[in-house]
Amino acid sequence: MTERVSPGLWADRIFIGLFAAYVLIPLGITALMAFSDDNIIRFPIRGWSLRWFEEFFGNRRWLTAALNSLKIAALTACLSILLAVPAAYGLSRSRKARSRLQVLLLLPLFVPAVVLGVSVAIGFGNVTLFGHALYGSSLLVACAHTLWALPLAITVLEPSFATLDRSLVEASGDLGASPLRSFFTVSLPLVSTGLVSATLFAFITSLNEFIMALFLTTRDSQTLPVLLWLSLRSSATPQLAVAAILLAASVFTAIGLAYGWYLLRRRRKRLSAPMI
Amino acid sequence: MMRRLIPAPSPAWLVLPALGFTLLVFGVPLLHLLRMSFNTHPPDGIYELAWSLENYVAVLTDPVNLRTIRDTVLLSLITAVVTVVLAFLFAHAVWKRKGRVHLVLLAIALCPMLVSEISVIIGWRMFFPANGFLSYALVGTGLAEQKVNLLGTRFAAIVGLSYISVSYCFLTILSVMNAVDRDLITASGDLGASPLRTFLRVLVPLTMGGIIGAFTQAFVFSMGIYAAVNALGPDSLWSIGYEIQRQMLSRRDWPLASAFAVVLIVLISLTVIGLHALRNRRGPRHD
Repeated sequence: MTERVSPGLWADRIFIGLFAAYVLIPLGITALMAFSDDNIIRFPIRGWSLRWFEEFFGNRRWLTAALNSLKIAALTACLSILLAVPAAYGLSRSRKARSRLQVLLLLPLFVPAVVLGVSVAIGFGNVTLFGHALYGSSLLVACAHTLWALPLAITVLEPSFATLDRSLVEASGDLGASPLRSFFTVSLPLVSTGLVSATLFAFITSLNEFIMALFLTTRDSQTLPVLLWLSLRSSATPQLAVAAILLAASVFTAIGLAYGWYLLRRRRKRLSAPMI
Repeated sequence: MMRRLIPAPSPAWLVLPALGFTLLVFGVPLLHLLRMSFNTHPPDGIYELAWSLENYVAVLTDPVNLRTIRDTVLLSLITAVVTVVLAFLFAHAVWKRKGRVHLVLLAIALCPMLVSEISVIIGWRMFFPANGFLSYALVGTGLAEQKVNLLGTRFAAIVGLSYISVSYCFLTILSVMNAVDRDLITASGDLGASPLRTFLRVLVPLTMGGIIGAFTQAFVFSMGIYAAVNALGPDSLWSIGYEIQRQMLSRRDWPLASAFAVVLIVLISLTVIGLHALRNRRGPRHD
């Protein structure tokens, strides 16, 4: 065969390069700008410093927003998993109910965040729970985010339960375990990879979302993306880049932790597997 | 052994909590929204209970609102086409490759899915303006003599919008491509078709279901996303989503915002149903 590279292949390589640039540009530029020493956002960058990071961690409003984000994301992840595990298990065990129910559960994914945000704000705007107004609370934002996180979590978990080796669960039943006990000690550990992925999806979805949060938070419960959106035009300093990069960093950290857990588990499994 | 006599609860029953949650937090508020869209907006308040169609009349006959709807649909159509083409070509490139390169390209394609819309906006807002990276790079390399500003153009809006849905389109198309029998591609080449002809006459028709699915996704996403359009596009370009935010948060006209939201849902539903029918009609011909 000839060594000559065909023009088609060159076009292919150039396209891959351009696409990769397209994907990496927003993140790359933000990462550069976060370390700028300048007072405004502009290129070329005239000096490097960590001053905007210091400013971020010294600013109460930004810190509170970041903490709110993490709190709401954790709440969303818990809520989604609590609802998704029984739902995914149920769906995987009953073929009849599956298609119709699954469509119903997936429906919120097709509805824009702005519509969800407005409806939840109108529907729960003046509801009080145990004497606390629901509007503006982290719980209400987490519930709204769960509308997107729950169908994602179910979609990730359902195949894990569906491909679960039923004979193992039956064996534990034959050995005398109650259905609940065999679920927690046999089924759940077997789907732990799906469980971690689903939690991760829910957590990231909530962390990144800001339109629903915009309609449902007050000044005190603002999340980091909401505060970024509100300061987009008023303060165009590298501070924005710092906040954006910290947001992205927390997403990638969450993924890194999950992947680390996965590698660790795989190694432990290999070590504990019987040698033949 | 007593336990054996008690029938285990039907598994479908376990779906109830999730279903109940969805009905409570999704279904009930949607009904509230629908009800709100028939109320009227007094000058000195938020809303007054009524059964009036005036909001729908305003949304569907006021020339400004009609232009907003037309602009949103048009921008979403263009974005969907651009995004599907990008996603298809990249999915094809990933599909052809194996091993490490395959994984690296896969990771690149999934990156946009993990980045918040707000970070996407901020990133492109540092790239496009006259003081941004693009202008600096163009002037620095001598490709442009003066600073270039692309912020506030439709092009920037489409770049931002398409970034947000490209990973999802990519995944949809790649999963359909993975099901394509690679022997068919080889056979087409062996029979003398050029790579381009094989691509257009064999691969594209075989993955049409995925292409329509990806198009639906990109269109539906773009119809609802307004932050990127607002922050990257021209000021004259209004989207339905932005109009909802403006009426809801700035003008305090909840009934009108609700009517806009209902119209948006109807537009999206019609598109999804129409494209789904198209996909199903195409299906049997290839089976």
